[in-house]
Amino acid sequence: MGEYFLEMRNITKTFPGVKALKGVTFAVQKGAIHGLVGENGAGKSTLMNVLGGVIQPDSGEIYINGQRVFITNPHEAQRLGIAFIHQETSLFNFLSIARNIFISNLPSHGRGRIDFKTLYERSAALLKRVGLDKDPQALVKDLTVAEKQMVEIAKALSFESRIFVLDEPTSPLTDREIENLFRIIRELKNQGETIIYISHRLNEIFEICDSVTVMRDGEIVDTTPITETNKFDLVRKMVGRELSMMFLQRDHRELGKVVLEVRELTKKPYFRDIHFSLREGEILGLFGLVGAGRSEVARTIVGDYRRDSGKVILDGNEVFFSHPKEAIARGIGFLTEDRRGEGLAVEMEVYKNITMAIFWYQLRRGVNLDLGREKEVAEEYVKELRIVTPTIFQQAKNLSGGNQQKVVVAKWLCAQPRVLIVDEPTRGIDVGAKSEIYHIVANLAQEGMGIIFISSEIEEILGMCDRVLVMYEGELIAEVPRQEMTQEKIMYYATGGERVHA
Amino acid sequence: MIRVKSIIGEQFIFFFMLAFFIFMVFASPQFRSHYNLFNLWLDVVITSILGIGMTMVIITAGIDLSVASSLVLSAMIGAILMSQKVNTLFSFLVMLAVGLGFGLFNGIMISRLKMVPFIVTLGTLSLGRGLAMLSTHARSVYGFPDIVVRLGSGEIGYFPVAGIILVILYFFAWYLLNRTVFGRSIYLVGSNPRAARLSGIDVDRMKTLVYVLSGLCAAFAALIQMGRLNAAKPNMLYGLELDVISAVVLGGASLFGGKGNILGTLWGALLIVLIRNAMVLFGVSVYYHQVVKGLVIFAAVFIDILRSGVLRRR
Repeated sequence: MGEYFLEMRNITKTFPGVKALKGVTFAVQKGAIHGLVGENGAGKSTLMNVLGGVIQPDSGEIYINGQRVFITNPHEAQRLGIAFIHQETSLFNFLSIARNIFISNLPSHGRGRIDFKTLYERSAALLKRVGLDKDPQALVKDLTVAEKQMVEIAKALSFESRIFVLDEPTSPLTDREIENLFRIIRELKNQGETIIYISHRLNEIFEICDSVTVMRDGEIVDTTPITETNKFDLVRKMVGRELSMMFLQRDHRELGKVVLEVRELTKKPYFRDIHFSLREGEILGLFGLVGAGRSEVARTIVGDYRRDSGKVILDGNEVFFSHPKEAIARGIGFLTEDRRGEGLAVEMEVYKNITMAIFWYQLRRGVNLDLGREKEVAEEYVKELRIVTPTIFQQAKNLSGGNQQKVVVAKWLCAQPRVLIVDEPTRGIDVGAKSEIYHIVANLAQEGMGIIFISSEIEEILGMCDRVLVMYEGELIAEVPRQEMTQEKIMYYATGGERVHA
Repeated sequence: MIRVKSIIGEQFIFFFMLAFFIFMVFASPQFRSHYNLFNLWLDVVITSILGIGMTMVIITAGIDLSVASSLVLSAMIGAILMSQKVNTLFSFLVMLAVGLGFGLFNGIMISRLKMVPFIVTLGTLSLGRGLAMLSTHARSVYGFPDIVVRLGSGEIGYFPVAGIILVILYFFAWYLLNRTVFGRSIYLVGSNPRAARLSGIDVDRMKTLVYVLSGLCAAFAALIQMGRLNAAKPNMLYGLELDVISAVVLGGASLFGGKGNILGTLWGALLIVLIRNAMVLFGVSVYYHQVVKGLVIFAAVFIDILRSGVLRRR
């Protein structure tokens, strides 16, 4: 040991407004299973995308087996023996297993004719290696998620891969499937392959990894052998920064009456039995890791998704929204996490984006649109939220991330909702804009709006919320009042809490 | 300045069309004749009226291949009724109902059943043409009331009646797209349907409505087409939907949705008609017409792409 098979030295990568990787040095020993953990946005994905040739770093060097390599594109990564197994597979559903495995290097008789005999023989051998008992001629669409993962691994083996990156591989799997996956991972290890294992589930990290690296804010916090750490230690390192001064110093806010109540809300397969209430003037945090089902709860409340069962009660009356427009009409706003995908029409002007949620209700005069009033409203909010844009006629895509986000916030402010659900409102924006968003949200609460604050950044939750609900795999696992909130406690619950320790 | 921009639709295509027009004025004495200009104006009417509905459909990132077919079917049904001396207004209402029915069918298939616009309207394209053929077993129908003929080929002073109707329809379409909540909604739907839905816009209803409008435009165009020929033939206007789509795209609409303006479509339709007219006047063999039209479409769209800077961003 002691010799690194993969070394990434001083990797930096800057995205517009965000330093995603700040001189990261990451090294993995040959034949080891190496865990990589960190909060969402800590830089894990960026780092792995650099390794996979998906994005190019601004600076830094990569060595494999002591040799400097230049990974300029995903094909090069594949050629160098780096294989990625994501939670969502990239297989072709309507091709056979064998063809998927050898998709880019089908054995041939020459002149483009496929050598089916070799294809099926070699596929069968690979399937045996990963312990998948299936006919190589079967179509991929008929496989379970776990089986598809096995095919992905077989595919990786067919390239003679030497480094396997598994990104949250277990989240769609059942317990038994996870065990099988772990068995294969261990076998790969015994065959001398190197594995990078990314997971939010710390218990798994402890079960399978030899060593673990913690990332936070684009930096490596620590790398230790697994035997020299424990779950609490890891959690502390993942979240352990000082609470910044970005948040409003909050007075003892008087909470009003209950404005929104959710009872036994269920939408399979996303979440089950969600139960909570929200008061006027309250900021209620909803924390959980990616895939915990937080956004889906919000979508179901506003009627974007149809619920399976349960009740939503607004001001004491049960409501059933079959379309978000009904939620808006009743005073519930929902700011989505995917700004470009679901928040903005980026090709359109700023003012049209600001009035997107109100023009049908507040700016309609018969069939006409009150263009004069519309521009007044837009100007008003551009000023109030200090949105930096040359004019309100600028296309939204030309604004910085933070200003785009403020445009989306403005869209919901002018709708004047009584309940505002914000989903990752500060994702991908710079510190200054973050702070402004926090102040805006806090002020809204001060004025009596009920706010559900969905976030996967613990710091925000601690700084903003009166109360936090923690979700884990579609269930509400804990409710923590402000006095008892600590980073460790919240992260502990979000990674499974007692549920897995018991 | 802003006003001029909004009138020409901020489109390069306007200048392209204008330059071509001026070139023709100098190059061909026949072109300048009142007779030719009058007919040019008439020629552009059918394509442009269909272009109104098509522009709205394309703004929502859809496509309507069935416009020519629903035009023909609605013309055949109207023609049969009118030749049986059925009340003209009633006949026209039936025609509108046919257009509306086609549009509603397309719209519901696309918005509620989430079928692909291209395929749905390909189906109704075939269906409409087939029913039109069946309606008279491919025979033409002649002889309509005076009012219909006057709508299609009459004139008021120097101007063709149909041309004036076209101008009025374009004014309404422009108003609808630029001044009403409906217009704003369809741009938002085309630009980002997810964001539109979450901001309270009934995306499905808007999508249905644009196809309905497209069907109504087809019925309207059918009436004018009948009057122009004083006949309805089930095999007329084959492939016109492609001219209409070309006009809309020349006018600056994006097939990816969210972009498009109604005046651009008018200039695009004019350009297509001008080119056809020029080739006739210069005595170019008819075989070359399609080739030249294709090249012009490529050229115009290519220049538009260069201007928008898509290639530079890569």
